[in-house]
Amino acid sequence: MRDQADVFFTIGASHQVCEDYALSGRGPGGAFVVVSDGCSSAPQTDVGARLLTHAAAQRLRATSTLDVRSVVDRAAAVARHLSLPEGALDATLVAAWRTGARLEIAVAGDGVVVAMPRDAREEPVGWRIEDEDQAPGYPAYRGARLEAYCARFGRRWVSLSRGGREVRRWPQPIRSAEDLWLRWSLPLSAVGGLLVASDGLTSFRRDDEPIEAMAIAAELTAFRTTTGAFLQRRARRFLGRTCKAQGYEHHDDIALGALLPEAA
Amino acid sequence: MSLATHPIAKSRYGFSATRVADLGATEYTLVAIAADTSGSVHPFLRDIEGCLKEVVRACRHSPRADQLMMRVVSFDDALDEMHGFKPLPGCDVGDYDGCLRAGGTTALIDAAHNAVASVATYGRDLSDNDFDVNAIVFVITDGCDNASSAKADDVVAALEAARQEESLESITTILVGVNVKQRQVSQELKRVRKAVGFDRYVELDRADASALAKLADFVSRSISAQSQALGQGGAGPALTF
Repeated sequence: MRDQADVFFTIGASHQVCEDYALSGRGPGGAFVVVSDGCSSAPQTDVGARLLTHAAAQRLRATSTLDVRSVVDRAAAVARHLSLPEGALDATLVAAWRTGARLEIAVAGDGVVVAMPRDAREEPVGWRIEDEDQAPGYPAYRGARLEAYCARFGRRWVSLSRGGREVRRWPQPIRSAEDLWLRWSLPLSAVGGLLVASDGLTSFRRDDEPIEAMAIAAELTAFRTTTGAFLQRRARRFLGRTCKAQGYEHHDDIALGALLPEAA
Repeated sequence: MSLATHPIAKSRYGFSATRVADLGATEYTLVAIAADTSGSVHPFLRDIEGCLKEVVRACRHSPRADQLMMRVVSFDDALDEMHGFKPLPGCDVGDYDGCLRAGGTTALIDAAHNAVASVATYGRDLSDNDFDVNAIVFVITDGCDNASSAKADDVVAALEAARQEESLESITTILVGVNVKQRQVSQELKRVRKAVGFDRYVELDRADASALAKLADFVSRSISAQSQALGQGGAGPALTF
């Protein structure tokens, strides 16, 4: 089996335009997925989220690396060409890609990453990245906007869970443009798959009670088959039938990417 | 893509279908066509073949081609599966050249039962694996049943099971009478349509190339309408023949 990658995005009940977006593809080192979530209060971030996602995908398709500065510069150049207003690129970016025997992960802003163990006896490991006061540090922040953000917030929170239970939560400081990105990598020998998601994954509720994002992730990664649009099938079935049967609702847009790497 | 064989309960006939693990789309419309090749069909056998080819050609050009899977069966007193359910891009028009041979009597009910049971069984398999599915069935005949082991009630039961399970979002069933010149045959086929619980009966009093071209157009448009209805919760609209 080659690396399999698929993405899915859909509008939330409280939105008029879907500001989430996602792309998958294949670079020289293996498959990749990218998801982005545009800021609801900024103008035309549906376009900005797409520009950032395409810029990241273009880079990953060509090099299987993610040079953050060049991704933002490229998206900003297109945004200027289109005369998009300042703030259109206020969007998060979560990417996962394979390079050789490792899976690389990069998160700017908020989002969720779930690693599915290759050994079925192990439990999934989840990272939930949340920003202070729900104000994400967007990768497009530069200059005065970045300084203002660092001065006002200056950190994000990372929650690590295992088998759906939080085992650790810590603040991660944001003092510079480099700090806007949280990056880590995982060995292919231990990880059979990755799910990356916008913070829409955390917006599910039942009877006004929030549902733990890792429980939703467990449903979304219960893939029946792994060919072609495997994540779209699972997500459509989950949102269409399971949510209806369980009384789940989600108000936010959702973007998902799943990467199932071929064993090294 | 490889095809796997599936049995059908209480029937000596099964069916084959593309392995679910090999399928990449999110949804499929299953198309089952059963064509009568009993001895009386011999004079227009090549036109029936041409009709099948035209349906395949039209469906391959459909914007929904990647979401269509077709199975074709010929029947006289026995059923012969020309090919099992496979995605339309994998159906080559040339493969239908000389594919039919006429002879024998007419196991019309067996063919109808097998077509319905095959879409119901495979549809359940697909649905269990997160695919959204609906189906359309065509049974094309020039005469009355005289060789089936299945009963009309078996077809009704298979249809009811398919509808109750809700694996198929919808199923449309059409009996087509071709070269129906005698009133008694027409009346009998209309009776069979009711007895087996099919949705529609359409009739051609001729079986020449132009009549069967019209049938091919009707079949391919009906397939397209059913496919476009997938996800809407109901069957495609009943089209004018």
